[in-house]
Amino acid sequence: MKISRLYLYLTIAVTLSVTNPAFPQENSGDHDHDHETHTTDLAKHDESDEHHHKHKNGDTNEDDDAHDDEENASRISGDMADQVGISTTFASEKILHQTITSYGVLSTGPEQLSHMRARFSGLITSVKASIGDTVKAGDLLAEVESDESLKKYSVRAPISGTLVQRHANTGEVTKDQVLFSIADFDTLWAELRIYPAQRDNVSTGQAVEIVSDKKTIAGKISHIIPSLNKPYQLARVQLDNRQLGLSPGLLVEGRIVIDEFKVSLAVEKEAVQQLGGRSGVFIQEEETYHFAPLILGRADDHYVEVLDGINVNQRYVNRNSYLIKADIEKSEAEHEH
Amino acid sequence: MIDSILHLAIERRYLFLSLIFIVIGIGVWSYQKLPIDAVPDITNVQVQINTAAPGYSPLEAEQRITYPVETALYGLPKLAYTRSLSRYGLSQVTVVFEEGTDIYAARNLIDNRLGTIQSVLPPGIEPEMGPISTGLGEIFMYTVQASPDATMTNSQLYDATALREIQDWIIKPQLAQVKGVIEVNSIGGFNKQYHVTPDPKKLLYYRISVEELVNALQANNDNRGAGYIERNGQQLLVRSPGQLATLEDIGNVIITEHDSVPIKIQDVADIGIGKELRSGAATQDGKETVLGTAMMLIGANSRTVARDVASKLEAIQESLPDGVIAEPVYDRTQLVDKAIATVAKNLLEGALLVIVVLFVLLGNFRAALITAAVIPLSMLATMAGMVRTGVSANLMSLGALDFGLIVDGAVIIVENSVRRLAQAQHNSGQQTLRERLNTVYEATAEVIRPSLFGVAIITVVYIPIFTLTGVEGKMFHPMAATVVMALLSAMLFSLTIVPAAVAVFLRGKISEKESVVITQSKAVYKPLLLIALKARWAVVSFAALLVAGCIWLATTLGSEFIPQLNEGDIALHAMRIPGTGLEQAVGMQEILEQRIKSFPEVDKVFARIGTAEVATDPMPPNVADNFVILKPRSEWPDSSKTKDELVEEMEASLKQLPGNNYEFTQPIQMRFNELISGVRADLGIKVFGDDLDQLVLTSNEILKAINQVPGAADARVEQVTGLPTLSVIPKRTALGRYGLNVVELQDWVSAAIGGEAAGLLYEGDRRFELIVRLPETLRRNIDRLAFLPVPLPNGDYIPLEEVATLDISPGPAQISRENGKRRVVVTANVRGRDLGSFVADVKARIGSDVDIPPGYWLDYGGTFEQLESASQRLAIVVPVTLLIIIGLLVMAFGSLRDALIIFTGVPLALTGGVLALWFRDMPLSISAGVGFIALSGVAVLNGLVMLAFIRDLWHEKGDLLASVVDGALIRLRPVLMTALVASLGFIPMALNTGTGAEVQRPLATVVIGGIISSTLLTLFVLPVLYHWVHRHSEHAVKAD
Repeated sequence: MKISRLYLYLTIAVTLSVTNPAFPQENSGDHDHDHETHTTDLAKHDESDEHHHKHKNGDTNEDDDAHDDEENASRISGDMADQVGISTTFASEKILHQTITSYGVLSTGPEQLSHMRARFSGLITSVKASIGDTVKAGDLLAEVESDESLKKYSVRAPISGTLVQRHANTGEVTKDQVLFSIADFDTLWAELRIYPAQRDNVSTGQAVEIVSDKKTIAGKISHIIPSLNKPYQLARVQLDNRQLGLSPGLLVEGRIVIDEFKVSLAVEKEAVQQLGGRSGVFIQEEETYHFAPLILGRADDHYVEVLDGINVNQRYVNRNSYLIKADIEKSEAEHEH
Repeated sequence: MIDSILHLAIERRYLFLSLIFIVIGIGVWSYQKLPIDAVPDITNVQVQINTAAPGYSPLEAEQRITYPVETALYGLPKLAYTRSLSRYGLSQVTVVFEEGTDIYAARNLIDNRLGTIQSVLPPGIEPEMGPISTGLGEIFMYTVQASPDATMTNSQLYDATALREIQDWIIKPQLAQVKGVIEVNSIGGFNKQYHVTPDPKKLLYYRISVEELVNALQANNDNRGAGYIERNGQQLLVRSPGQLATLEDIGNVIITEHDSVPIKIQDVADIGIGKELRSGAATQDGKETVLGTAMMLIGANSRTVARDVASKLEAIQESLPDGVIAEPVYDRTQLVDKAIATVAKNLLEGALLVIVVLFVLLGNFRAALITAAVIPLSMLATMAGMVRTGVSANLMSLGALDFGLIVDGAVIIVENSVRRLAQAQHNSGQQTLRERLNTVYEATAEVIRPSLFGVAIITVVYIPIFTLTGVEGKMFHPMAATVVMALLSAMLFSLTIVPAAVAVFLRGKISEKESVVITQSKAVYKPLLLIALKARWAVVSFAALLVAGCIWLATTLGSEFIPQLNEGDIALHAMRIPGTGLEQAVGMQEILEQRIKSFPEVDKVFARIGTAEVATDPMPPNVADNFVILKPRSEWPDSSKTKDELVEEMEASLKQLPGNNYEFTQPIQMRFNELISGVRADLGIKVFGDDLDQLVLTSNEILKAINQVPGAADARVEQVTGLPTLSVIPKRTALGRYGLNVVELQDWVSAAIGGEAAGLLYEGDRRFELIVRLPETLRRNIDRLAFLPVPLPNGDYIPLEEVATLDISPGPAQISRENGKRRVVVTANVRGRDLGSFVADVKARIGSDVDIPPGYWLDYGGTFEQLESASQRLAIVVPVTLLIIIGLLVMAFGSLRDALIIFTGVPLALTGGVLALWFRDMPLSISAGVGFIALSGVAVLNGLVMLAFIRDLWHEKGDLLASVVDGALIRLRPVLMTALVASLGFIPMALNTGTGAEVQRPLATVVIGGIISSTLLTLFVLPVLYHWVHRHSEHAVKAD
């Protein structure tokens, strides 16, 4: 009996070892050992582990913030931080420029385009200007002999600008047609479409950057007009086109500075990370970086206003902050297949 | 029957001897075909179905691809189970078949099924089966790098895109030709793509949609054949080439007219060579690189294939542009060579030791050679058998071969023949041929039965190994099969060739005088045996105490699976938090590798991040597989440092790097883990159901319940969420107001961010995708995405935020399914209590505390399940095996009592094994277990031979005590011989420190220790027991 039991025992012992969970990586003894060193040597890490553990347990009781911050921390030596490209900066006062983007078409103002007709229909006796000529207001463009009075009268440019159309040749009869079109492209209007979602933020007087191709032109919203039967309104921005050579009809992008204000405290947008469902930055205290959940206010492209959670002149991580988030959360990083 | 075979063998001895040449012929031929590898292949029969789904999020990949594929596979014959994984841009369904299923047939069936669902899948999506390879498949890896000053033909430096092009179009096609290579997998760099990046403003201005642009590209990029014309008897082929070839060609494609002016692509878009949205990257020594992996076909010979690939790669180097280097970074040949060298050295040294022992103890050189000849012959026969049964030669299958054990049968026969021949010569001088043949026949017949029974018993004790299933089974079946084959062939030879050889070669004068060693031993043995027979109480109780002590000792030994084969290299997973971007991961990887490289022991380090082109191992970008190739030990600053120490140092150093978690393993081991991929905790509770949120909720409740059960440790829920997702959610009413359909919005968003394929560009064989996608500046700036103009059907446009809400929130990182249902796994380990009661407690606790909604169910799995089934199986198999052994013994002796006496040999043999393990501070492992099994066999064999003799003597002479003493003395030589050859044969294995020796060491240690104790037992305890048990029957005999 004893004999068979020994055999049985040994075989089962062997089987036990086969099915030992800790394999095939390491034997269970090693595993325990590992765990111990972990708790003693890396107490900091363990604390954060514990925190996550709690989190996972569905422990929704939020600890008070101060306590929480303590746990969401990571230690990184100065050399190491340099090596991995972590850099810090001070939280400070900033001027924020909030902008929105909208698109619109360049157009000329009504006063900048003139289509001239003959006052009395008659025979054109001479034409003085041709397409492409730059004319000033009052310049002689053509002479017409009136059919009724048979007197010659002058057709003069009503506005300065460029002659863009000419439908008049010597010897032709004017009838009703447009003889000349003069357009003044020295100033153009960008008519930016303001859709309902943006309407509240846009008002006259706001600065605008108009981007066309590679050019950026500064301007201001002169007025906002509703458009007919369209869901949007037009914010009109006057552009000085003398040097730019833009043409009407072109589609441009407008970056409207909807607000510009000074905030007493702001951090770089790039620095903000999410941790445990909250946004915040990592504050450096010597070699420790701990997570400070922030209450964030308004933001622009680069900075975001901080209402609470960090003090002026505290150092926070502005480059590679993701690494610190990764370090704190790394206990969750596992390899699943 | 045995007698007639023996007769035949001795009568037709020359014929039988010529059998040797046939055996050698078959053996050598088989050796050529024998697959050789370092370790046995433990991969199950599986087929991976990978579907690349560019741009699909996990949810979409699951719904559109994974689900139809899974459903198509329902009811496949011999299907064990399916599991699947849906990730960004990838759906992978792994189909596992029952053991022994023909992989090609299985793939055929799957192929049929996949063909039928093609219409259900989204257009352009095609499921593909993974390469026909296994966990041992990744045999060769190389990187493609350019020297820093090497320039391309356009005098620019090589970048990752150019290197990838070289890999894909110069190296890969050539390597794929190598016989035995099933796939060459690329990772790293960027697939070259031609990018057309339209400026949305210009599109709006000219009122051109992305679709028109794509259509224009597609309609202007084709060659067409147009038949032929016959002119003046000559045939002219007609073709109209129209494929785009250069960036300029692309720019000049006309999209439409605007005020009668043609609008070309270059008017609205930038055109350039761009980077794909890749899913994986590779690094080497802290720099980005391109990594190629040659994968071996199932069942091919890894050593030859790896060697061929290496020489092919060298040849390919010639064809690479100047300055571009394809460098081998991992070559399986080295490991296999080292492992095989270890095995070969062990076997050779073992065989030599066996010959020496035979010669010394037999005192007859010819006899020693005849016995030793069984070694190579049975080895060759075994190889033939391995080829027939498809067992590959590796550390495990060859690791348990002990030539000492194998020749036991032959030793007994030859020894007896020598003894009888010497005796006969002593009695009647020189014998005639007939007489000699007769003596040989009698001598052989005398011991053939016990030795055949012995070998049969050794074979039977291997039965429990054959009942192991799963990974353990795969690991140890080849070992048991090889040993059994070797034993059986040796048995066959001792029945045929050995007697024939004895009859032929043992002529002339046979020295009757036994060698000095034996006479000396006999002089010592006899008085000791007499004392033992007197002090039988002391002997028996000492033996009993020893057994009891060793049982206790065995419980104090640690336990481990199999001792891990040291592959000589290190593999480590570097894991970052889910959601880490690929470029961020590459950055972190570079720092990590610089640090690893700074170890003087490290030769090179390289890594795969994310998923390769062929998703054999789909990893998210936050996981990297690092391979650390170590320098030869002689180049280490401290060559006495062990690999474990190095790993420890490395781990400590790497832990300082922020943001990484590590898991150290070895290359082959890592691959096996990836492929087998079961639940590796003690208890795994799989929660099945439909709604992901509900699954997570239920899992968390289960986790809470488990944590309240005493003994629970490391309990955790599988991470399924946490991948930040930017959702563009259409506002349906707003869309309606502007006359847009949801699909138009989605098309625009996907074209804007992901890009839209617009055909291929050909450069000879090379083909590159043409992609239309919005400029990088627009894609990168999430805040600005809200203002992205969306074109309306009437040519107008609206900003995206008018018609959609943008929302960033964590979404599912991956969706795992098993057997066609979503699942989340909760795992836990157990500390300080037994698994069975823990599982029962957990079940009860979950039953009372957790409310599982209808439509959801649980499945309890994990190692506890394996343990349960293994224990149940062994609880039947082990007693049955023991019964079979006793049955065989009873058959041999016709007496249950004698059978039981012999059987006592088993526990006593085991004591020596346990003591030897304890002495060498080794844990109880499966390898050791196999050693114990072999031991039981040897113990029985020795006991059998000894008792058979004593009993025959007793029946002849009638004096029990005299028979016991005489019989024991006569059998001293064979017992000592079998013991010595078996233990000495294992000594090289026990002491070797080469690659792979760690697997064999425990086995050899157990056998050596056990044989010492078993020999002592056979020599002292058995005679004592026999005498004691039969002393009453002696009275009975006397009374008669």
